[in-house]
Amino acid sequence: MTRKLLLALMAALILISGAYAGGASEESADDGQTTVAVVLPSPLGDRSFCDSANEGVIRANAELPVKADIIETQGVHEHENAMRGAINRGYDLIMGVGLDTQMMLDLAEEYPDQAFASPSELTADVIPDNLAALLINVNKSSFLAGLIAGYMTETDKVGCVAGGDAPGINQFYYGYKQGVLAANPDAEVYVNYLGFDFSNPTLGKESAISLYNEGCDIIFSVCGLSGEGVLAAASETGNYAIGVDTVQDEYYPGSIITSVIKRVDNSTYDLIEAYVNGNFQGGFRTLDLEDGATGISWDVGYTTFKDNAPAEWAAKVDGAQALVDEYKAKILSGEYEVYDALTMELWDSLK
Amino acid sequence: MINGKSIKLRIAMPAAALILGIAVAVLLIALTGVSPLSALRVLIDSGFGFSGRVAPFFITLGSATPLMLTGLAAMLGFKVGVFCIAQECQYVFGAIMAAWLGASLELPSVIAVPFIILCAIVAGGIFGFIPAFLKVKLGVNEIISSIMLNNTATLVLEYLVAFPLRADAGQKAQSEVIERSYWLPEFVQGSRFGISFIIGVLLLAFFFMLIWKTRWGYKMRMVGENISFADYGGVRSSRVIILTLVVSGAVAGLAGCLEVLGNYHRIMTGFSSGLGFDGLSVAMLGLSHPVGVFIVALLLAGIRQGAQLGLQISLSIPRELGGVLIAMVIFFVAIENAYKPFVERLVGGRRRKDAREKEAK
Repeated sequence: MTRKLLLALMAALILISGAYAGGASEESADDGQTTVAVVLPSPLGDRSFCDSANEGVIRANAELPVKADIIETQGVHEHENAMRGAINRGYDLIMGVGLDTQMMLDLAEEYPDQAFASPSELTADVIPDNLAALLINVNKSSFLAGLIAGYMTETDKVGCVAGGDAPGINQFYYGYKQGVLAANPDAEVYVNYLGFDFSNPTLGKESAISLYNEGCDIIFSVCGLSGEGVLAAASETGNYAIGVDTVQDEYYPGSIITSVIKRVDNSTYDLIEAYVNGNFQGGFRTLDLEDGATGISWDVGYTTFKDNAPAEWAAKVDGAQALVDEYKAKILSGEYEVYDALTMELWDSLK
Repeated sequence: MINGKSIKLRIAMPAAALILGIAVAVLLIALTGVSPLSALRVLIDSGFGFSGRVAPFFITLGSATPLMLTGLAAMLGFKVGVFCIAQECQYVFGAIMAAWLGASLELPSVIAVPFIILCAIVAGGIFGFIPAFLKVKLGVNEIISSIMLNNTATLVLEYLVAFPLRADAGQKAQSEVIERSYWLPEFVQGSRFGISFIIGVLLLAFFFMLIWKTRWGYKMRMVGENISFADYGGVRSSRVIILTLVVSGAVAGLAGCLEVLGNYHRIMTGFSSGLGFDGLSVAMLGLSHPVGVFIVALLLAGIRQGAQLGLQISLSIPRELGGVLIAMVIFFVAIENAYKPFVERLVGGRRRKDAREKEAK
């Protein structure tokens, strides 16, 4: 009997040593190449924020002499461990996508020789030299989406399902609200915060349905994977929604009016490219409407809604487009100011 | 009562579950087109190895600490024959205490840290008392009441981090970072392997002594083995059960507190991530024995670490595979009756058992 146990033990040892002997050549294959780790705030598959960043990574892997790895996490509690794990493995550049600002700053301070980057949503007064942060301001593009919602609504009630009550999300929400009120001063804007649950389509759907029951006919979805539920609810209840981050118009053709695009794919790619080309620069830069980093899906030629919506809704697209063009010109010339939740105190007109 | 054979069988059964679990995982890895051997190597390297800036082994020791403690908490329940699964809830309330007090107290750390730990222990103990009291006095099934408590704790946590405790400037639902002087020191920078680990090991040793070397422990085991006999023998079993579950809750609360003081330094949504349930698996796989709990906690933490940072990054195998591996092991523990005869034959316990049955006749 003891002999059998011994045999089993030996078999295990042989298996393990075989494992070491078998694959020793694999790891040394990527020597010399620049390595990048991209830590995502939640799992892939949200057809929104994370997938967008992943597209940037895929493009970088294809076009640049770089090996970029995606590290998915399950939520806030895993972020720091994943970042530390990446630091441990000795990547040249480590990118945290939409992670906590303070954590990124602390890690950059703790490891001054490690290059860090953040392709979106990182703002701070002082940023260390080894951290390159891009911020995509979405308040103006959300404002344009708000204009469309305010113009199109038939019930004078529109809604927003937002991931959480934080400046980064409120930048979307208040820009949208200002847009709705600019197009339609009588309209009421309802918001439903999800308590930072960005990966719960069921919750998104319930929240959207409660807003539709309240009388809203258009809902802006700003909640990552939870937004899948919002879009589904729009289609199922015969109402309308506005997508976020990526072009989501085609998921439910005719139900999704437009999408507020946040080009995290481009900012991710740009940061990797800058590092590979030796142009890595610590510090903070913002990207905006005029940089093409954000906008609405209509800008880039999507007519899915116009082609598929019921006639009386499709007919409103041209009027909405004219309104968007009018305000966009005013915004770009600096004549019209859009509220920015990241940097300003809340305006009285938006309370 | 316990002879050499049955000890051997008791060790062989979880070992068999582990081997079967790994076998299924190896099959799944093979399906993804990666050589299972190199996957195993990467898993071991990044779970238990010593390469990299901070040795993965130390990180594993750090992340095994809460598993050891929640495992110990679950084990104490098992010892008195109660399947209490409120560790999740106790862990969360211990953590909430630590995060709240840690961010709001303004005392020198020599006073504050023991005070915080004490409060967390009390918080955990209270949530150990509730299901115990309900069970003993009202006959409420402890599994149901503790599942309810777990849900409550998760929702309370989400509310607290989204509203009252949320850090002002934060983008995320998480509380303020606790006062820096309250942080528990770590032995290896960046590994989370620190004082908490020592506390965990000492507690395991303490409870080993308590359960097997004291009168109190004897009472516990008696209640667990046969409650009617214990009552008959003059043990006030309801008191033993309540006290044990309070202590078990205190240990789980301590686990949450140490995680906040030594690791996260704050709480956030999803803070617990099922650690309470992990404690149950640790206790079951660890044969409800402190040494087993220690080994299994290390194993589980290492597999998880290796799957997240090794398999996912080096071989692009989905990180969920680590979870699948652990789930398979638990699955094989749950269906142990299906293959028990084979293991018995292998270890040779069967013959002895048959012989014993014959003797009894």
